[in-house]
Amino acid sequence: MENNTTRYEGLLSSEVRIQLTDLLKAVALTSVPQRSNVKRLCSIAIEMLDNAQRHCSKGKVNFAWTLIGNTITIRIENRASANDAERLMAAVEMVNGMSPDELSAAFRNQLENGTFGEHGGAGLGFIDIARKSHGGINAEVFPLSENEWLCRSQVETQLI
Amino acid sequence: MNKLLIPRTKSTPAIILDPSTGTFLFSGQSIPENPAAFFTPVTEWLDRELGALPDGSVFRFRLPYFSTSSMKAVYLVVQKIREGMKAAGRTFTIQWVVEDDDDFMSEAAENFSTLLDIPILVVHQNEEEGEAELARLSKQCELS
Repeated sequence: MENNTTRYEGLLSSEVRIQLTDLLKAVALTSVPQRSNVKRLCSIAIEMLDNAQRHCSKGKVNFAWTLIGNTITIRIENRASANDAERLMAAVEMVNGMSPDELSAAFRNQLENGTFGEHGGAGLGFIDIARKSHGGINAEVFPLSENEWLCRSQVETQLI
Repeated sequence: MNKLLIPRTKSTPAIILDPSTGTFLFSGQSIPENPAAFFTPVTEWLDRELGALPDGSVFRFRLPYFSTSSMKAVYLVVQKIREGMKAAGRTFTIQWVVEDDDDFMSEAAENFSTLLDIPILVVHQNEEEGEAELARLSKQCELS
């Protein structure tokens, strides 16, 4: 298993998000021992990138995937509106307080009853990340102006 | 009956809904920016054509990677198939392709089955087999 870091700083268009996803799959396939880990970690990255693209108000995102030993850290920063920053913190606080069974139940409930939001998301992303990372989500937000915040989400999880 | 053929892209699966060959396949990763918009032609096609499909038609979903927003859109597609099946008084089969060791994909099938109260047959297939199947069916159905 090889330690490695993949970083991207720049605009997050659909094309960049897709290329990054493919790159991370390739990196994971060559550096992560089990295929189940590859799927799990790439799914987490897909959700974090998807989320950032949906809610990024403007400017660059800062993304990093770091594998050191048995620990992988996936981190993303983007600018967002005050409402979206508040929603990010609420979502992370909610999923971090849930047990695995509660996360599964919340996921099923949202899948069955949820609707697509104004940004096109389904409200399932952070529940899924929490399930797949086994609860290791950290989020911070910092005001940049009255209506714009810097949002930082980080997931740290162990290879299984 | 009309067929719906949507070629695969880097972010969306190939979709082959072809009554003339009895092929109903979704194959490839699904991470579009707007999954609801991407799958709209599928739900519209199902609204038009589902009632005329023969008993025993098989819908096969092979989505090795998908975002959760895509999962919601696919859930709505499967829900539409279930409703059409009940309205037409026919039995269709939903096959859910899972690569080995992909527990979350198996769990997705289980969730769909439980929430929609519909049997979903989990089929194990590795990536190479899935790609070969897509290439063969794309050729057969003239998907460019």
